[in-house]
Amino acid sequence: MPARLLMDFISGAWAVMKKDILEEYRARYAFNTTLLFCVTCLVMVSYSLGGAVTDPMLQSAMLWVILFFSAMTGLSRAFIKEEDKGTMNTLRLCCRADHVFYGKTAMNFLMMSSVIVIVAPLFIILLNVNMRHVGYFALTTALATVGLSAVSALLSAIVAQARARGMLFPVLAFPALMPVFLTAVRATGMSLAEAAPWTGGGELVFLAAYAVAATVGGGFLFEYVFSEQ
Amino acid sequence: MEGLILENVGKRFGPRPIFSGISFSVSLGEAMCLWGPNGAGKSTLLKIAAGLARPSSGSATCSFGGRSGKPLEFRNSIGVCAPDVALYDELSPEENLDFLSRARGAKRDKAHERELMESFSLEGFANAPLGTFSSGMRQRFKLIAALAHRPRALLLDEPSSFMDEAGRARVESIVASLKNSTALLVATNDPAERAWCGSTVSLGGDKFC
Repeated sequence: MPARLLMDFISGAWAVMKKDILEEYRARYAFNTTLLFCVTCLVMVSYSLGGAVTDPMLQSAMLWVILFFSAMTGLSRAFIKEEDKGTMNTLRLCCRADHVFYGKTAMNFLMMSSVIVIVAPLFIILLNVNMRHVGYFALTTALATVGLSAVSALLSAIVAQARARGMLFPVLAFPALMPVFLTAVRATGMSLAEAAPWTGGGELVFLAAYAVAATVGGGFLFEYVFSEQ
Repeated sequence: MEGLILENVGKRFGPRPIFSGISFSVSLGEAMCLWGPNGAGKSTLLKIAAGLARPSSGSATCSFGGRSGKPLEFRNSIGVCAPDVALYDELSPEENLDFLSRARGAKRDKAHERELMESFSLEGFANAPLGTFSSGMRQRFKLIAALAHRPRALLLDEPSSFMDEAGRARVESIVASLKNSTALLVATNDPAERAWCGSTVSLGGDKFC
């Protein structure tokens, strides 16, 4: 019985994610916007600062500021587009709330990961970054992206019902994502520094705990946001 | 009784009451019309019956297979065709139907879907993006999507709007074929659509006849 429930859950969440992948593949709105924002910011930062910034923590902070604001533009669309197109009611009619939340979170994760895969090498090249601990950096970005994706999915569903959506999303996201942002900056800085980052480990534990709390807690809270109006 | 039950339902937007104290039930084999002028609250009442809007007072419940609960607990038993329930423009009818059946966790009945596509003359457009469809074709496909999972309760909001004569006739014949086995709720201010139904709930006073 639990295996059957798990299969139903995976199948329902996958249906939502697959639908979003197809939509994004055809329209390429959120991915292009996010990627373009990231690349433009990186190029501007690299031109204006050149090789002047050599401190790993400053380099890391620049990367995460760019990723954070690009996420604000791209990930906020998850439910706003459904509300704008009138398909939110279709989701309510056909899907269980948890399937929608985890499908959207997985789609956010896929999109942000794809952007980071392109942006991270550009960051290394344009800012002349010496990436000393690639594994630690990859784990940091993966864990931070899970938290970012889950919180963005939940907040997107909340702001989709409001009028001043564009302004409201960053305002709500800022306090909710501040802990993951600060920890990701510190952890990424450690992956660029000479000292071995694995010995401390507190940052990764925090990012993992945040990711679990955001995905599990978001799943519970989403039911209230998603239900009838 | 199997079907939809609305008890003492009222709705207000802020201080403005739309309707109040509405009670009726639609059982299997029954067709009910929600009738009234624009702004009377027909679509809102239909959305409450579908579980898409929360009533300010009263309750909407569904009862199928010996079980009762909120309408959204019966996703596989309810079909809705309404302006507020849109489908995905970037996806084709085939992809939309695949998503809807997977999301419901139901097994796809492709033969039934093909039959519906043929009956609404959309069989040649199964793989074209919905965004390229005309308003009438889109409305036809909305009806197909509402019927594809063989719902036991069908909720239609002005179902033949945007349709040509052939489309209207097709909707009428499909409604006629479903009337004996389905709980049918139609929100309309079109006398022709009202004539499909055996009974009527009037909203917005007696001025609208």
